[in-house]
Amino acid sequence: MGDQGAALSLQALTYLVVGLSFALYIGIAFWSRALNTGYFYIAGRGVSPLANGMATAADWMSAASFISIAGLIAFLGYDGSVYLMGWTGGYVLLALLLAPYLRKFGKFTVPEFIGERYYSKTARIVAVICLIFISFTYVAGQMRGVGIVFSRFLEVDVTIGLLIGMGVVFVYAVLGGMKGITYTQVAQYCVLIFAYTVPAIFIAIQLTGNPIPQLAFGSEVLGTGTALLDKLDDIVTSLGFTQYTSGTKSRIDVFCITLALMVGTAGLPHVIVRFFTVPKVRDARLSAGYALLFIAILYTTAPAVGSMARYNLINTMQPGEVGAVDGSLAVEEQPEWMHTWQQTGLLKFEDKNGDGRIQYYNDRNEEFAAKAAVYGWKGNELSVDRDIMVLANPEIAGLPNWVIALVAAGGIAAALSTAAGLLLVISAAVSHDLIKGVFVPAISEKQELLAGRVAAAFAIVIAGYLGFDPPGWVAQVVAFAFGLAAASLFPAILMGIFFKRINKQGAIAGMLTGLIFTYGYIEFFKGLFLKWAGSPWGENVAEQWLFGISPEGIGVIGMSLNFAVAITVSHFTAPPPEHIQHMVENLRVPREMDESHV
Amino acid sequence: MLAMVKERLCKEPLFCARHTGSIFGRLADMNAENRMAYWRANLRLVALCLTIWFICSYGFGLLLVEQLNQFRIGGFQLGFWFAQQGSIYIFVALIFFYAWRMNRIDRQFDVHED
Repeated sequence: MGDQGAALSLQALTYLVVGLSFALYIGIAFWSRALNTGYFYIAGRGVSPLANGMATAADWMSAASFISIAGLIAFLGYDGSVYLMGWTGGYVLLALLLAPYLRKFGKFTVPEFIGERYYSKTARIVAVICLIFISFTYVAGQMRGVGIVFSRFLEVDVTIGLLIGMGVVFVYAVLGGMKGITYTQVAQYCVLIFAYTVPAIFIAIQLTGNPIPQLAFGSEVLGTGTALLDKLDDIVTSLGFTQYTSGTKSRIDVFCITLALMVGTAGLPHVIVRFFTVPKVRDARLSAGYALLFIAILYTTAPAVGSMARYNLINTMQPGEVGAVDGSLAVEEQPEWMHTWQQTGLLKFEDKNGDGRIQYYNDRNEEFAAKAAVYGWKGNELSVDRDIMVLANPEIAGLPNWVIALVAAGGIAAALSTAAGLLLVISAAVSHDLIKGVFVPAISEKQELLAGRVAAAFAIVIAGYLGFDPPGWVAQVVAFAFGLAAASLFPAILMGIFFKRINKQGAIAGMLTGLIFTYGYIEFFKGLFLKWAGSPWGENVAEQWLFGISPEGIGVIGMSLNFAVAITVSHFTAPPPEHIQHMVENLRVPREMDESHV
Repeated sequence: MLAMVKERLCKEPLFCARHTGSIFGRLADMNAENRMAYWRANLRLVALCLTIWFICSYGFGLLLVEQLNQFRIGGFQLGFWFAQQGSIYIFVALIFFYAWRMNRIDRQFDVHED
């Protein structure tokens, strides 16, 4: 076994593992073809809560979760907690406030709910616009993720990588619809979680002797008698970085970012729609629990990976005493992984002071920079892209090749599963909400199914194009997508269930206010679509922000405005018709109380 | 435990009506009342869960993090642990708790699915 492993090159092994995973996904797609619209949109409502939990986890955890989050935490330390809490806490809102009621509603899409609850095609169209924007933003990022993994691990051109990824998604999303996507996502969850935890366990054992990463990063580093996090605090501060376990962001901003991420998560259409696929209301509740459990396995491992990766990185760069002549890593002693990652451009170094060694420190910390100047250092010489921390981690820790191949397959699984879920809600919004719901209500079921497939195919092509040639703003728009979901869809759905008195006028005014305010604020400080008109107009610094809230957290204010406007407008206009109030009452109970039960 | 449930059931208008015999005329009203009581029970449970949700994440993980960091569990400062681990565990437990409690409330008010 060991000999065979050595005989297979890393590249061949990666092809093998990734190829096998693709074969598995396509096999599942053939097995679970969708034959009618019910299967295409919501898998015939026959998905078990456990399977739906896994599928939701894969749907939600994107290339960003898999590749980026541990790296974010590695470099942000405590400040990175907003992403951990923000992207998990939203499920509590989803499970308690939305999922069971939307399942009771029992239709196919999120805009459909908004359209019926607010008895308005306009409301439905506004919801479709929000949905399409949010989903395309996301999908562009996923396709890019597929491209990066392909180009690094399979050493093919990013474009070819993208085309292969698009082809695979095309087969199972267009053919299988929601049913195909559900069961491939279950498989993809297994691949990605295995790929994420195996290297984490190896590294945890290497560093601390404790195999459970969640406990390991609270354990002592082997042979030192000091806890990992304390040691990490020591070494990062000795190089002028901020202490790992404490933060630098302002309270109100951290508070708003966390809340915007949570509410945004609960308002994401491709996540919500997963809860339409289970048989019963109580399954929707339970399924949300499973979903978060499966997500938590990755999200509690990520901070462990982050801290251990940061520790390993700094130990590699600074093997000796800080400031000693031979303290920093010598250029010719660079480990192999530094060479490979330099080729991708994600890792760069430049020997600024020409001493043949690499100095890695925080040159933006003035106090420390002064000290560094005494050592003869002329600025930080290494820049590491946060995104490589997970991908390079197995190499940094010197793990066997099959682990590295597995990580590649895991990254692709994470990207494909999310992309497929997003493409499906886009196609459903087009075929079911726009074509069937608004423009051509007379369309037959067969034609609608065909329209859904064509829309999915088109969406894949657009997504591929966005991933191939990402507009400069893709990374920035992620914050926008969350803010938009938090400020538009979430309040409209929540009020639709919990406030009977909210009417059509209120809901539309509220959604538009939340949308326009949130978009305007982000455009003002970050610049999105109006760059030709000179945006961003404001300097993106804390002193300029409204109440000190960054564009990432502004969705919270947009959401509050949405609530306030909707309630005020509804108060001054006619209440919703009787049958709508009756519908809301029915949403609130899992089963009707009827005479036979008295 | 069972006695408590029975007592609780008898307080609900629908079940008490069983003993009165003349329920059909008032059926609609009672249904509405039962519905209201069910909804209130649901809202109480949601409020409880969201309070815990808020305290564990925003409270322990963000607002009180420095005070809690003076305590330690293993190699973690407590506030840091809540922000990066504890809050997530509590979120998971909360959803399962809610699902379990809601199933019981559904049965209690006779609105459970078959």
